[in-house]
Amino acid sequence: MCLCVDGYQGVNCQIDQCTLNPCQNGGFGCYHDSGKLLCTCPVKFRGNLCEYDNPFTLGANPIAYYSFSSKNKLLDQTGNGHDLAPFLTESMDYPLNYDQDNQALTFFTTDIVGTSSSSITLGDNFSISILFSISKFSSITTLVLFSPTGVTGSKPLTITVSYIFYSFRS
Amino acid sequence: MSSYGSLVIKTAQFIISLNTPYLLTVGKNGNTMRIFVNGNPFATVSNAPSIDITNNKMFLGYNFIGILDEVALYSSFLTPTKITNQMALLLLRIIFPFSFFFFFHLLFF
Repeated sequence: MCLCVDGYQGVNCQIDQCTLNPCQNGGFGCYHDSGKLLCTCPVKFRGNLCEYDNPFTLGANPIAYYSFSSKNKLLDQTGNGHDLAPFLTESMDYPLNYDQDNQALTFFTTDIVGTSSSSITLGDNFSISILFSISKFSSITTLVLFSPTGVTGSKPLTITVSYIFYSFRS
Repeated sequence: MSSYGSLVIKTAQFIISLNTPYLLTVGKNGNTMRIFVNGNPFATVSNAPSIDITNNKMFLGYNFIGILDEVALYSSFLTPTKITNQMALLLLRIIFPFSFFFFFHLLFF
């Protein structure tokens, strides 16, 4: 009898738990990462094994949805996973192809959304939901920036987080 | 950031902690924009200008060191009820505590 590392079982740890089809709710592509089993989930589900409803798609269908929960995978609104060569996912500290000069991860919406030649169009009624955490303070941190290309008179939206240094005198 | 925006139309302040997940939702309904933090109404912007983000390049995480876990774009204004429901589901898996003064800015050229 052996003591197995996470993700394996059996008398000799010979069974890869990915072979036991652990992905739920239509999840697929089981793989091991840091002792965890992870699946690529349909857009309606979330979690390591796609075991619970995705809050971002329940009751409202996003026209674009980017999930960085699955390492090196990005889910679009079709639920398809795309390999993310230019990005890292869970920890964005210094991901692959990270733009060190700009400290930014960039992508083109037309590359990601997969709606042929059309890009994301948001009119006067739209919403953006962002789940984030900050691990190091920066004076101004941009979460999302839409920068127009060749559109005159437009006003791109930038959503930023900033803070102010406080100093105290006695 | 100076090349990306020059007009701050709204500054909203709240308290934030490092390494703590937050759900930020920004919605536009006509000329009104609303900001929700962790599912709670936080600020309202009246007379918000039109925004053209057609054929745009989208950037994530300028000067950002942390985790961008999920980004969702909707072609509708999410109702407060839907945003609250989103947060309720997220709370099943993620703890959202709150310390440091931060501001959310909506910037326009």
